[in-house]
Amino acid sequence: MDYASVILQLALSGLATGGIYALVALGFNIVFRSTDAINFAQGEWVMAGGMIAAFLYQAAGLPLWTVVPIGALAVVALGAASERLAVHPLTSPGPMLITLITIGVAIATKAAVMLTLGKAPAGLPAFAGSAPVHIGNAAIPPQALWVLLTMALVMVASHFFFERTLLGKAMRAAAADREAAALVGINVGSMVTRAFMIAAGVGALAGIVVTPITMTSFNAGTFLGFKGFSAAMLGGLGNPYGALVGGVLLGLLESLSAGLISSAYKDAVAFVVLLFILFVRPDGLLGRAGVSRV
Amino acid sequence: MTAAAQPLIEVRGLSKNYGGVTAIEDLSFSVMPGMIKAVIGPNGAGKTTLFNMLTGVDRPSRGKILLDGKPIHDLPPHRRVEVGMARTFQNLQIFDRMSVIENVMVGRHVRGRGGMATALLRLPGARREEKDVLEASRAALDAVGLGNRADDPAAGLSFGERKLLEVARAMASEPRLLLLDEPAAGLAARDIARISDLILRLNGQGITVLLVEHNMRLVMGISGNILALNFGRKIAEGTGEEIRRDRGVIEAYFGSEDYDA
Amino acid sequence: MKRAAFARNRIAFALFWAAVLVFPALAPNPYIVNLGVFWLINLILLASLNLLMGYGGQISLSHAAFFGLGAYISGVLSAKFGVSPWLGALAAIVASAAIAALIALPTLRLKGHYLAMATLGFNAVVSVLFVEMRGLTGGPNGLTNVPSLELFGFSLAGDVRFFYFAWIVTGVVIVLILNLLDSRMGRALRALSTSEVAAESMGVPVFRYKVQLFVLTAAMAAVAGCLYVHHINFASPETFDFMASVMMLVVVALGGTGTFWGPFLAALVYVGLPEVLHAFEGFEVLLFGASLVVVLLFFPSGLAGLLRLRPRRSRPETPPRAAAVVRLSERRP
Repeated sequence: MDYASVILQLALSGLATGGIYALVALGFNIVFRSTDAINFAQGEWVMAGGMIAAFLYQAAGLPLWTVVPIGALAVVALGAASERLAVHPLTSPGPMLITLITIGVAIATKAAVMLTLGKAPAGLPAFAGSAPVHIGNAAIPPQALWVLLTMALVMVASHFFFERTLLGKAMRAAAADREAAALVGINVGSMVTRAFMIAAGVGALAGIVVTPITMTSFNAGTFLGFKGFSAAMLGGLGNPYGALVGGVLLGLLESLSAGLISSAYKDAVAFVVLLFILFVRPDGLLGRAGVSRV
Repeated sequence: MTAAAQPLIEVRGLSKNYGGVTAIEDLSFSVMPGMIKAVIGPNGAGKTTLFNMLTGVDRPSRGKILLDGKPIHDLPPHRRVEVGMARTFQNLQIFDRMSVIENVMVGRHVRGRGGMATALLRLPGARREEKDVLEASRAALDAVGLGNRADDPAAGLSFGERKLLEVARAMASEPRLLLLDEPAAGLAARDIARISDLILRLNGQGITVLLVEHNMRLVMGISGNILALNFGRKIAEGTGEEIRRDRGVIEAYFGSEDYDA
Repeated sequence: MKRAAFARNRIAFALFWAAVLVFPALAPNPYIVNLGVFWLINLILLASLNLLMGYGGQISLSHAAFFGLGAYISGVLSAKFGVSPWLGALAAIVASAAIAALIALPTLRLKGHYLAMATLGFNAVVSVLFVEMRGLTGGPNGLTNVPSLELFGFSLAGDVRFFYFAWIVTGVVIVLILNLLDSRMGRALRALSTSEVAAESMGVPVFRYKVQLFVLTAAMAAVAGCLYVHHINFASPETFDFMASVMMLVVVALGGTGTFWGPFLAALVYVGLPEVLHAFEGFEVLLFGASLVVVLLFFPSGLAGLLRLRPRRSRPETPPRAAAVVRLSERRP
């Protein structure tokens, strides 16, 4: 295989992984914008989506096209429950406290999945066949295209939701200034709940759509969560387009460095990138969202 | 006549831009030793920006700040205390988790020398130094009238007492120049009088004072010299009488509520 | 904290520490003594993390990395290169401190989340190195054949002997921490943990102190690592991954960040809880996560606050009136 083809192959698979990172990053951004906190449970929601969908398909025998929405909705409910039980009761919700609490939620979620669905890895069939798709001299599994399609759809929907709908704008208002939003009649608490729900749903979709490629298991969420977070930081935490840019870029960096340099330290790439961003440009490539305080 | 011809603080051609916004434009003035100088101006005039640059929280875009003729505008805040400048905060940055006396002792940090090794090993020099710090801090508290509250938690003080604590804390480093950020803000009349007396007393002991203030009565009452700013520029500088009559100042304040009763 | 409070803590600590000496005699079996050793080792970790976070105001999610660096460097030097464990430990502590200094310089300029995630990223990188540098570290299966410590021919292997040795080391670390807090620098640290701007304006060299504190606490974590590796003669990368750092932070928060006795309780929880819940396998983790949430919800000052070992913090993060406005907005049907 000539050099160009190798690069192409690496880039394509990196693009697919990047799609997942972008979705996870989007989840982080949504919660960050509404609470200023880092949601450690995000990765676990991704895992839960895949695990629940796989369980429904294999153990309950439900058809593929139903497990996707049911799995996603189940995790949305999980996200809502997490927020209502663990975050909402806080009288003074500082970001650090919320972040710590999401650690508890993450631990509990991971344990709950392990207890109910077992430790064994689970899989889903590819959505539309497994014959590799050829692009030039490179080949990718068709599921990768599903990943990219999901990413594109979610990004567009999210953009539309936050920019064009009243609810989306209300959520942004509540994120920008809790007290001011409350004063104009926005139910801030429920905005935060909705943010958690949307983040959970997005995460679940990511988890479901990647499971046919990588399989999933109860401990798959932790690393994935952190890489998604690195992607979010890379693009700019809270920035609506940062998730896309950061995710894709991180996926490409990971894939290219693993293929061209060494695959042994592949997992470290995401964290080296994170450190680099933090030291050199903490606001990320596209800059942080939110009002800058003078 | 004393031969104190050299100013203690000299500001030359100071400018500060934030992106496209010019907060301070080509400002020059000086503060003579032993003087009480007030900086006044409507909201947004640039007083806070000027104060931040004097205290080292911000760096000027252009221009110089000189202390005794030596440039200090690049010194970080903690170095400025070493050269004799101390400040209070308008929004009161009291160390709430510590006692009143401990707050003041922090103010005296630059007068001590022990570092981490000294601390970890509890070397004898450190113990002696701590005794000195404690005594000097008690003296500073007595000077502002909070001596009897020394061991109380700082969080328990009233607003007026916290303002006094800020001054005691600033005085603990034995500064030559005291920078006061709206000392009267939020105070009732009686407490304003108390702070006013305190400032005059400290000035009487030779401390130079520069204050940013809205309360005109206080300003007129204690200042030897007043600098008026508007839109980041100097519009007038002089004695209370001169400022009171200056047309530019009157225009800037036209309709404002700043003549506090 | 008043000056008298420091003196009280010293006396209370001295009495408590003397009492701890009796533990091996009271323990019913060597396994329990071993738990005691782990309590001592974890106390160093948690007390130093508490110092960094509670008194220095810095978040660190890299504490486990320095724990691991201490363990692995000393372990590798003594297991693979035949270096005396004492020298190996010394080298490990110095190296960890140096690495901490290098990391601190860019990292401590960051605040809040950024600082937390930078430290976490660092921990993750170090973890990957522990796993991938197989030639040195033994890879995912761990480092074996690490020798025990020996003092003038007197072996410090075995639970009881090592307990007494660890008792000395941990005692020294706690005394150092107490000394630091009750000093000019300690006061400056407590000030900067409340308000860095104010402390700097009072003459405290904030950045320099933050770096020094970070390096000191990293060195302490490395000491714990050396104790650990020469006690169980083994090291595995899982013990030092970022989840471990997260757990340490969580347990310190549970015990009460910024309190003196918090870490003692935290270490007890850290060591004792898995034992108590051992019967319930996965449930223990679920319960841990859930109880963490509950404790943080109702007792933000942690266990030490609950047991009145320290008065509740009086500063709310949202002004009460603003919080009430937010609550009112939720009354709509």
